[in-house]
Amino acid sequence: MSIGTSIAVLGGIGAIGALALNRVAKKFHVEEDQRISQVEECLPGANCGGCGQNGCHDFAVKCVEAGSLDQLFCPVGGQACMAKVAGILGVGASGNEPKLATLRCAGTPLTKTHLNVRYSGPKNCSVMNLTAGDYLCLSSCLGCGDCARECQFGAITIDQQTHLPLIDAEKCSGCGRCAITCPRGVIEMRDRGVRGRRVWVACGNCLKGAQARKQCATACLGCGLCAKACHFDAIIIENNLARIDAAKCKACGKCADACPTHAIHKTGFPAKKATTD
Amino acid sequence: MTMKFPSFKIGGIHPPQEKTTPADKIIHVELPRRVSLLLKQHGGAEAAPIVAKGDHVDRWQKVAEATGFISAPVHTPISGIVKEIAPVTTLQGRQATAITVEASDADHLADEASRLEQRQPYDYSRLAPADIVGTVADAGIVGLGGATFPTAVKLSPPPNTKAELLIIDACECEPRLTCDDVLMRAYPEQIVEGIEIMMRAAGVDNAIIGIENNKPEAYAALKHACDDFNMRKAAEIRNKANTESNHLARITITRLQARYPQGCEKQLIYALTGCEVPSGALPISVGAIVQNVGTAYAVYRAVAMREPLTERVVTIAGAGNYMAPIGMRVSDLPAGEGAICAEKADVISGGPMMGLSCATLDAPVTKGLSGICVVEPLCYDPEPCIRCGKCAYACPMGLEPYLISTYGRLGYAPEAKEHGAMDCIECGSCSYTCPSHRPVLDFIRLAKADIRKKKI
Repeated sequence: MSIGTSIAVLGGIGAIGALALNRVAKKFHVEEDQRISQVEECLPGANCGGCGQNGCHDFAVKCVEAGSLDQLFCPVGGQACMAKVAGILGVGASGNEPKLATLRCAGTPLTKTHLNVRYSGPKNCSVMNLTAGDYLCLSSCLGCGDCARECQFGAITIDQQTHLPLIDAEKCSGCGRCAITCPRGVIEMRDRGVRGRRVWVACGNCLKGAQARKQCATACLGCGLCAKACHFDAIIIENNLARIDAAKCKACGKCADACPTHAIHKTGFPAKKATTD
Repeated sequence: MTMKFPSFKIGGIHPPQEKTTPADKIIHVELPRRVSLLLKQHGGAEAAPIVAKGDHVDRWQKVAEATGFISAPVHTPISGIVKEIAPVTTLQGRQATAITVEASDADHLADEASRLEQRQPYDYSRLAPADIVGTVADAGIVGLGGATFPTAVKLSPPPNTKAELLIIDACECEPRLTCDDVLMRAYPEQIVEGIEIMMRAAGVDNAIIGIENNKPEAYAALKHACDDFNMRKAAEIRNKANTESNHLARITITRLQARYPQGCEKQLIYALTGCEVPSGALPISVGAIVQNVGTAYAVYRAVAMREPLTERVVTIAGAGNYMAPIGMRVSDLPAGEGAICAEKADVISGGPMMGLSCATLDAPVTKGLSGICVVEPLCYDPEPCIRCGKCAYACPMGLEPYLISTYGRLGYAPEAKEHGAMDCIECGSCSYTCPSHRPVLDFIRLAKADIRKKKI
């Protein structure tokens, strides 16, 4: 008897509630473009913000509303993902490739000139950047790991010996959050290169050669030997600093061999060549 | 029975004073052979060089001109040849453009000889207030308390405001520094005369000197000079000797209870007058102008002795107080190197509370450098905030440092601004009191830098 009443009462309350919910859901139903959810399914769902929107849903809304994909690109999903989105929306895809976070500093405690005093504030690059930090070079990596904390994909770890971030190319999705976070702009988003072959200038010091050399043993001096070694005119010396034009660079690695301070780094080359360095 | 001295209302701390540096005499140093004069030693716009490489400049010649309203010119303390105009490393390890002047033997001897000359004071009694302000601006005088705001700008208040009171900050609440103390003991009459000049320039009849009760000798010296001044003025009025001024100018000196940060403008105004300066407003909004004693002395030198600002007192904590020519390398100061080159120590430019870490001592003395201290490096690891609220009790501005600091760390600039980050005077009381050794102020500074960068 008592069980029967309970079931009836609770069941009744449940039924009334369900009816009310049903009515409310119908009344307040919002028509959403079905393509938004379709686009969202194609996206990686990392909500990293690399595209400039607040997460993948916002990006999907933006894609559908904008009508064209000219200014929109998901750096994590890359070309494949954008092609799918373009297929759903029936428009042409933008032609970017996912980039890779590249470090523009190779200075370790052994190569960089220390200042007379040590920084003793909080281990946070942004705060440290309000002071001069530990080293004379003002464009060097501060080594407190703001980029590693910011990375959503666990692609960055700080090397305990060199105090430089190690970027795992496999895990890096190219969202570019680390590059935005870095208060000194040490991280640059560069092309991944054909078959993983990459050549880059691992220095951002714009001072004249002698001064740069004083600050770090592996600084780019702006001497121009790399530009001479390059057969493709891909190297430009600006503000005493070499810059490799990604459009012209054929990743031959000649510049890296020519650099007197080893400020140009290369990776992805056959092992035999790498050992001759 | 101990006397009760006034002080400011909320917050504040009592760090150990450690004012052990001898404050009985100023040590004059030989002029350096080479000076590097930074173009930006003041708040506001960088000065523009008006000499070229290879030019010969004379002692006290202006080498860089002020650009814009809030700016200050730069003068050379030595004669010599302009060697270069190029970036040099500052005490904080940054690069900044400086004019480097190098003296030949003949220049050096001539300078040293001219230093020994007795010079007659200039009669400035006929100068109009605007001319005095012009002289002060031309002499490159900036607030020597550390903020380095151009003094002439403070002395010429905006048109819709009226200055009624000149407040002289003689607190020197910062531990270890004795540079103001030594100046007050050595030149009390000159400081009072400098105050009189500033009172005339700003058109005020009253000045109050606020001095902390831990400097009895300086108080006695200044009190004596003030009494002399007040008697002289009263006699002038009685005799109607000076028909221009019908008002009785008065300088009073008030002792304050030693407490940090009493020397900050807003705290000092409250301690002396009981007026509170609104958030974001300048002291002139309550009719006050605040100047440091060092500035008063520099004004005296500029107006009465016609000397531009080319030297200042620098405390080398533990060694002494030096009258250091601006532009001289800090490591060239006698005894400086010995007191400083301690291994495993942090060297601070300024006092231990508000000073900044020195990255190098091979850097020029600037107008804002009050001292060099060596402190034990902090070797605490920050622990989590325990929400004790000590920082909020210690904050003299009545802010919530723990909150602003967290906003700063997480990059929430608008929220930090809403909670008054820009009212923070960066006194460091919060970090000092934190039982978890959290770097509270560092993150507030980050929040402020963020707010300025994003222009919120």
